Amino acid sequence: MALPSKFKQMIGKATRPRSLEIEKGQIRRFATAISEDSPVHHDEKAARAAGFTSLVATPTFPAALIATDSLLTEIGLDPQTTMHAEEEYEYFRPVCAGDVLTVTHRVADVYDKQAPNGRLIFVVIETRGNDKRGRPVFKGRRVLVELKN
Amino acid sequence: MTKLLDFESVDKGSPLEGLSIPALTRVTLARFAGASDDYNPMHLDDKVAAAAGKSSVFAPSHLIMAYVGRMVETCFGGTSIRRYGLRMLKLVWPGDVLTCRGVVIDKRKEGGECVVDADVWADNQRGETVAKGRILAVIPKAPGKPLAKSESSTGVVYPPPKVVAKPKGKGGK
Repeated sequence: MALPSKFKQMIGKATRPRSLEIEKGQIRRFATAISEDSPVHHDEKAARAAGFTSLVATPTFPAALIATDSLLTEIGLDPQTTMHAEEEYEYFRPVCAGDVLTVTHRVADVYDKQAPNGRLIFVVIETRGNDKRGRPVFKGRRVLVELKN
Repeated sequence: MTKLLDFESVDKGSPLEGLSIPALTRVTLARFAGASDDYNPMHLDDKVAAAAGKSSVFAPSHLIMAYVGRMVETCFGGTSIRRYGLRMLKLVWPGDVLTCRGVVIDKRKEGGECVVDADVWADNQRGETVAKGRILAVIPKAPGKPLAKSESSTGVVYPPPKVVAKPKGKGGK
């Protein structure tokens, strides 16, 4: 069975680049929400002493940079029938408070797989977070599963 | 205390120090929704979750990834973290108690750098693995040796465990 055209058309679709200023409060809140109390996420002096320009983000903080549900809606997926299957980050340098990042998401691939209880459609989204000079800070790759199609 | 990883001492099969996460609460789900600016009702509203055929709200995968990430940050302190990925295998419900674990599966020299791969995962209180993934980091050549500047200029280097350790009784938020 061919991929429904709604999904085929998603390949290559990108969100508009967003310029995001990373705030200290955001970094602290994310760390607090996961009970991560390492001082480099909470105390600026400790972060500077460890060689960072300001508070440094936890490894999966990039997930918080753009609300997943608004991202899905922008791409054309329904957040309530879309499950997250996989996610990977490649790190080039740390994300610190005061950084201004340009973040873009792009649908890299869409494919389907036959499962025992129906067909699943997988959507691969690649994310790039670049600094002001266009150098990569992180790359992300997440695989979503659309359950209703 | 977690030991700083180095290429001489580490070997295939070396376990990472695990991390226990207290039972998941709805307050944690709400707090994480706020912190990650993601208000998908599947993680917050039992009625919406029930309408989708789930027995209750469940944890967003980003939360599980962040918990395993905490273990990664501690265990790989003083190393240059280059890649971290996780695949979701089972949903995590309020009341579930997770334990994050990991084991080194390979070490090799690559372009003059000392690279390690580790499997990382999270198990629930029933012993089921809820998520499993991989970490790639560049680690110091020998005990007590810091990373070369060229090695630490790419990736993310969190402070080694010793630097992070806080004086007794003064920890917390």
